[in-house]
Amino acid sequence: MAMNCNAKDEVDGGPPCAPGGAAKTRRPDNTAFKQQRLPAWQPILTAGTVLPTFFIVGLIFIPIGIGIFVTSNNIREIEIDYTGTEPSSPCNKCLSPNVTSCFCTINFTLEKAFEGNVFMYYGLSNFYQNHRRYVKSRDDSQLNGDSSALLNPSKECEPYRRNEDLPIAPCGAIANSMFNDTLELFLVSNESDPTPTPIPLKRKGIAWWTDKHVKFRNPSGGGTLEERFKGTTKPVNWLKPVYMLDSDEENNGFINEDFIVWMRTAALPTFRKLYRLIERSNDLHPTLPAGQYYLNITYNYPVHSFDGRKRMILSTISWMGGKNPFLGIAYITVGSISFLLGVVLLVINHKYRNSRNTADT
Amino acid sequence: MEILNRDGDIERFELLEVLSFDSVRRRMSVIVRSTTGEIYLFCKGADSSIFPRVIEGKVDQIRSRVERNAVEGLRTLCVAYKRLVPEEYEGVCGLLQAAKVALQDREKKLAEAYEQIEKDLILLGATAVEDRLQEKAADTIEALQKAGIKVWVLTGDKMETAAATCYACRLFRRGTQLLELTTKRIEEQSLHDVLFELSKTVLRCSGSLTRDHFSGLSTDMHDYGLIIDGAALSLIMKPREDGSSANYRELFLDICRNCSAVLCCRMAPLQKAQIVKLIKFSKEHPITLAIGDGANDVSMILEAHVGIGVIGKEGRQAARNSDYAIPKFKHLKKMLLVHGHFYYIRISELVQYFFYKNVCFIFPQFLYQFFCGFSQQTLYDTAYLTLYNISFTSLPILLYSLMEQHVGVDMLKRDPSLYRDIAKNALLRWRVFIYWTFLGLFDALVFFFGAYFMFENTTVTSNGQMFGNWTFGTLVFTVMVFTVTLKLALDTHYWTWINHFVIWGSLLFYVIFSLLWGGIIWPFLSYQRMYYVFLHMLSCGPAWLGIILLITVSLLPDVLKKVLCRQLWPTATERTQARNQCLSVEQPTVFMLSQTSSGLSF
Repeated sequence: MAMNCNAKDEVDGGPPCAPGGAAKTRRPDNTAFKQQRLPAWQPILTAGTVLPTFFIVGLIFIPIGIGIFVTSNNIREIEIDYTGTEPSSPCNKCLSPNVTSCFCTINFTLEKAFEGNVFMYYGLSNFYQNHRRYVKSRDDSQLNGDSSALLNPSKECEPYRRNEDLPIAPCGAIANSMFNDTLELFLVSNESDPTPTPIPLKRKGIAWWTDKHVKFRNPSGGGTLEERFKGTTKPVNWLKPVYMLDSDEENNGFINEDFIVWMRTAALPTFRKLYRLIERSNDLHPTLPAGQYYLNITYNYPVHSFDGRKRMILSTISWMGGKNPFLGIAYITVGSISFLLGVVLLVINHKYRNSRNTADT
Repeated sequence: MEILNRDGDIERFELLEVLSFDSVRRRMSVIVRSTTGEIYLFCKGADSSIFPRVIEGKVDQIRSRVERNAVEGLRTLCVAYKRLVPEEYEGVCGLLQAAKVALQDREKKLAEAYEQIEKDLILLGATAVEDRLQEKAADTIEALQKAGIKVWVLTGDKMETAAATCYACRLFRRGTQLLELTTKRIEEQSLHDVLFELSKTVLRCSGSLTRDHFSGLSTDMHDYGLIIDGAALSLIMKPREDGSSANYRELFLDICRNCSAVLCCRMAPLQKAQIVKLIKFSKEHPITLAIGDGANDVSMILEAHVGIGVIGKEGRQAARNSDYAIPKFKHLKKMLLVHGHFYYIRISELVQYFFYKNVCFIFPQFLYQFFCGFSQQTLYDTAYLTLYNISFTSLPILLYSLMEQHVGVDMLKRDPSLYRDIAKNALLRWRVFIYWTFLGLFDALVFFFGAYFMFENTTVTSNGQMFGNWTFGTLVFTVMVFTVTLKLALDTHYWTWINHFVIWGSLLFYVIFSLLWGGIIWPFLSYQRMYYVFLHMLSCGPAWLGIILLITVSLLPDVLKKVLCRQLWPTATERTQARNQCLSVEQPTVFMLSQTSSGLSF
C-alpha cells in the first residue's frame, strides 16, 4: 500500500508534507504494544482451577472460625444497665432534674471469676455520636495545643464556641457532651469482714497512645495549667473546667484520657467506651473473683430526655478483642458453604465430563 | 489532446466542450474539433441510455454482444458519435452557455440542454472492462455471513453483471434459489402479485424454523437470494393514496429477512441510501454498515450507522465521507471480527464495571444513614471520597479497556461465528446490567454489615481500646477497594505486564496513600481525624481476618456464577477459550503470515 504525499493529504487533510515529496508514513509502529501482541498470561476460570480453591478456602476458614468462636466463647462479659427508668431500680431517684449530684448503688453478682486483665466500659444507647453536625463540631488545632486556636476556636464549633464573651476550651458539641458519671467497683468479701473492698481502677492506658502523645497536647507555656488556659472558659455543660479534670498533671487538661476517649466519636448509636482498667493481680487469685459486687454511681449524665440508656460493662479481652461471636460464626459459615459448593461443583464437573465422554463418539 | 490510432499515427483533437457525467442520465459526452476542422460529438454511457438515442449502427449485433459480456461479469459501456456542422455547433454552444449561466434551476436547464444535444447518434461499439474482484473478497463475505451479518449488494450495474459478480464472490452459492423482483416481472404481473408470490415462497420454507433474523444457514435448508432492481424499488417506495405502500414495504422487508443475501442492481446513489434507511427503521432496528469505494456510494455511507470507505482507484470521495477508511475490502474482516469484537467486549465491561464500582461505593454510605440519624454523615473520609474514582480504581479499568483480548486474534479470524455471541448488543442488555447492579448491591451489603457486626458494641483490639467511626469507614473502604479491583482481576483474560502493574500498583498506591495520609499531622488540614486511623486498624488481628472474610464473601457469588455458566451453558466464545487453553500457549506463526502479507495491521 504505497501512500505518497498527495494521497495522504487528501485522506486526512493533515499537515503538509515535507518538500521534495519525502513520504512521512502514517503507518503505526510495528511494536508489540501498538499491535496488541504483548506476551500475556491468559487464565480462564474453569471448574478445574476453581475447585481446589473452594476446597482450600473451606479447609482454611473452618478451623479459623472454630478457633475464633472458641476464643470468643471463653471471654467473660457482664453488662449492668443503670439508667434507672424502672421504678424498682436504685438509680430511679436520679432521674428527676432537680437533683444535681445523685449517688446510687447497684448490686450484681459474678457467677464465674474473671481472669487476666479486666476492662471496664461505660456504654450508651441511642446516643448519636455519629451525627454529622456533632462529628464536625470540634477544633483539632485547639486540641493540639495551638495557642492561636485556643483563644480563637474554629467556626465549626458553633454554637459551643464562645460563652459569656470568652472562647470555650475545649470547644464544640463533642467536648460539651462529655460523659461525666463516676463509677466505682466494690467487692463484698465472703469472709467475716463485711465491708466491701474497693477494686483498684487504673485510669491510664485507656486512650490510643498516638492520641495522647501526638494528637492532643496542652497549650504550651510556663506556669500551671490554669495559667496556660487563661482567657478561656469551660464548656457550658461541664461542672469543672478542663484544667481540673484530674489532679495528676499528666492526665489533666486536653490530655486527660477520659476526655480523649470521649472525643473519638463512636461509629454507631449504641456504643461503649473504655473507662478503666483492672489489672491482673500478681498472685494466683483471679482479678475479679466470683461473688457479690457493688457498683457505686455518681449519676451526673442525663440520658433520659432522649430515651438513651446507660450501662457499665466488665469484660475480659483476648487477642481478638471482646466477646463477638460474629466473626467466628461467619468464618465457619463461609468455610462450610465454600466446601459444599466445591463438592457440588465436583459432582457437576464429573457428570458433565461423563456425559461429554459418552456424547463424543 | 492526442490519440494514437490504429495505424500508429497520432491524431490531434481540440477539446471544445465536456458534457459531464451524471448518474441520472448515465452518460457523458465530449465535443471535439479534429485537425481537419470537423466537429464531432462523442458519447459514452450505459447501454440502456445510449441505445434509445442511436439511429444508425449495428445495433442488434452490439446489443447481443453486450448481453453476453454482462453475463460473463464484465462491465459494459456503449460508445456513439455524431458529426456536428458549424451552425449546429453554434446552436449547441448557445444552449450550453444559456444553461450554464442560468441563475435558477441550473441543473434542470443543463439536463434539458444535454437531452437536446445528445440525440441522433451513430453507434460505434461497446467496451467491456473486467472489474476484477479484490483479493479475498469472497473470503470476507463468507466470513461475514458466518458471523451472522446479513450482506446486501447495492450496485448501479446491470442485473446480469451484478449476478455474475455475486456468484463470483460467493454471495450466491450454487444451491441458492434466486427470487427476482425486477421490472420485467412486474410488467408481467402487478407489483402486489409478485410480492405476495415471493413472500409465500420464502415463508413456506422458513415457517417452521425460528424467526431468528441472524440465523445461520444449514446446508439442507432452502437458500434464497433476492434480486431487485432500482425501478422495482422505486415502485415499492412510491407513496400511494390508498396507503398500501406501507404494506408493500413490510412485505418487501419480510421477504428480505428470509433471504440469505440480497442483490439490488441498477441502483441510483440516492436509492442506495433509501434502502439503507428502510432497513434502519424496520422492525428490529438493526445496526447497518455501508461500505463502498466510489462517489456513488457516498449517500449510502452517510446514511448507514457505520460508513466505511475503501480508498480505491476511483478516488477518495467515499473515504472522505466515511467514518472509517480502509485500503482494501478484505480488511473489513479483521476490522469487524477482531477489532470490532474486542472493542465491544472492552466497552461493555467498562460501562458495566463503572456502574458496579460506584454502586459498591455509594450504597454503604446510603446504608450508614440509617445508623447516623439520617444526618448525611459520610462513612469515608473526604480524601477517600475524592480519590476513589480518580486514583484508586481508574487505572485498572482503563488499561483493561485498552488491552483486553478475551480470545486470541487468530481464533477470532478463524472462527467468525464467535461474533454471534455479541450480536444484538448482548452484553449491554437489561439483564446483564441488572446482574451487575445486584452484584454491586450484594457486595455493598456484605461490606457494610460485615463491618457493622464486627464493630457492634465491642472492641476488636487486644488492648481493649475502642475504634471510632472513621476506623469503621476506613475498614469498609479498604474492603471495597480491594474487592472491586480483584473483581476486575477475575474478569481479565489477558494479563500483560501492564495489567499486573496497574492492578497491583493501584492496590499498593491505596495502601501507601492511606499510610501517608494518616501518618503525620498535616499542617494544612483543619481536621486531624484520620491521624493514625489506618495503621491502628491494621494493627489488630480481627481487622485483617475481617477484611479477608469480606473480600472472599463478596467475590464468591460471581466466581460461582462464572464457573457454573461456563460448565453448564458454555457460549461459543467460552468453548474456544477452553480449547485454546488445551492447545499450546504459543501462537502458531503460520497463521499470522498467511493473513497479513505485509507487516501492517491496525
